Amino acid sequence: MQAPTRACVLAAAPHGTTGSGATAAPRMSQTRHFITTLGRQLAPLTLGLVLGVLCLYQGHREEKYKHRKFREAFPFSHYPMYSGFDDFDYVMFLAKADGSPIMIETVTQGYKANALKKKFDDLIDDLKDEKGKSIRNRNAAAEQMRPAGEKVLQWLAESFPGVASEVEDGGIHLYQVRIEMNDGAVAESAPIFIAQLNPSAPTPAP
Amino acid sequence: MKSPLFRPQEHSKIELTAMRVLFALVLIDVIPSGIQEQRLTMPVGLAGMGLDLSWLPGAMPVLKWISWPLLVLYAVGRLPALTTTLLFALTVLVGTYANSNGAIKHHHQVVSLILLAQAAWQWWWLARHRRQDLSHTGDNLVRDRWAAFASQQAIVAAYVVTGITKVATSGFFGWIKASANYPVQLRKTNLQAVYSRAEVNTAAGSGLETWLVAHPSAGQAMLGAGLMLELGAFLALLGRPWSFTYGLLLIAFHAMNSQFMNLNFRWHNWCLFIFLILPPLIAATRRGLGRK
Repeated sequence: MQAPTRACVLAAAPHGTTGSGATAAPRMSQTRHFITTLGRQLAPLTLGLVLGVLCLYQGHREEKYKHRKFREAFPFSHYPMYSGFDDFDYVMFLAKADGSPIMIETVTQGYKANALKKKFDDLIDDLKDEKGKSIRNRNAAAEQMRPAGEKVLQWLAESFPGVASEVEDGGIHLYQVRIEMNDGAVAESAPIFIAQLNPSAPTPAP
Repeated sequence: MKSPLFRPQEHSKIELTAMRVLFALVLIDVIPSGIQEQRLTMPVGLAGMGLDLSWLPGAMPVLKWISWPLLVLYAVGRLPALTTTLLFALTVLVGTYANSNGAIKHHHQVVSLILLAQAAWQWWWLARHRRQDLSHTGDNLVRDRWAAFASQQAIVAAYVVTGITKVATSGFFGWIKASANYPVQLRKTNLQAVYSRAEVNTAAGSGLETWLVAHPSAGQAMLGAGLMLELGAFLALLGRPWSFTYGLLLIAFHAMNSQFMNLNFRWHNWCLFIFLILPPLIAATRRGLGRK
């Protein structure tokens, strides 16, 4: 039979009652026993713990250095989606010059409206109001968001031939629909014009 | 001394082979033969550190061909350290490229994390045993059981991190309280489906939205259960019954999210099936057939 370890023997010893020096040793040994036991239990999980810590550290850096455009370090992600539920959100969509919606998947072979919103979100995060605060909120004016909208449209036109031909065919517009909880009900706004890209329009700065 | 609570399951060779073969099939899907060329306006990961990936769409057919022998070797359990490392590198290239256009998606990460965990384990094993005789089959069985355990840990880590991020961002009760606003997300998903392809494909989401607006507490309980599921995902490592149950619960959780939020969990579901559900299923079947 295996001899008991020193830590186990100390942990099993009764608590000393003969002065502070005598009580300190068993307490310390109990702590050591606890740490040793915990270490043995967690040792097989080392890989999972390391991966988890790397993912969380990545998330911490992403938040800390947001202004420096520090992005996700694939494959480490802290999975920030739905980490908070605001009572306000919005949807972005493309439209022809007459305002009729363009189904983005049909002109991009698979790029979806949620990806369009993420792209817009990333650009809007770089814009600030006159007080230096984020304009990603329900009160932002369309004019404040226009530079981000123009960049998104330019990127779409350069990335997808289907969008480029829509631009040539009379131009494309970008709209936003705002959604919010209002008196216990979900309400959506009328489409708000954000930006446009015309065939003859000068190219916005990248 | 008591053995650790969390330890590899005693997988049989057939379980380990099934896991490798099925995961190789998933990797065939993850590593495509072609990817759409795009401007990497917001590079992430390696691309964000300066690695130019503009060559990747052109090289993808070649890389796909390179992946075939790697996948075969991986499936049969040969050269595991090398195959997992190279396959990990391929999935990182594909995932990094896909996420560098400003719209970060979370489909690829779990697959790459599993390969990273397997590769790390295999190299560690190789470093420890390089001077020892590995001809004894029992050694490889132990190695492969731990490789499967490493994969399960990678999956679990992703779920626990997701839960921790929610709690760190909004607080545990804060997140559950704020989830009363979940109907806003349902409406957003529905509108995005409309503006993507002119169809309301989340009719179930519309019905749920109406119901949740009328019963906000029920929605909070439902989402709270989901958060608990994520935070407690490490329980799946406690053994076969736990991994089987947890795998099923997480797939059910994904099915709900896919139905209502139009989210794609295809690879997550396959990984859960392969590494958490399948081994206990095979073991139970073999027990039923009277085989050890």
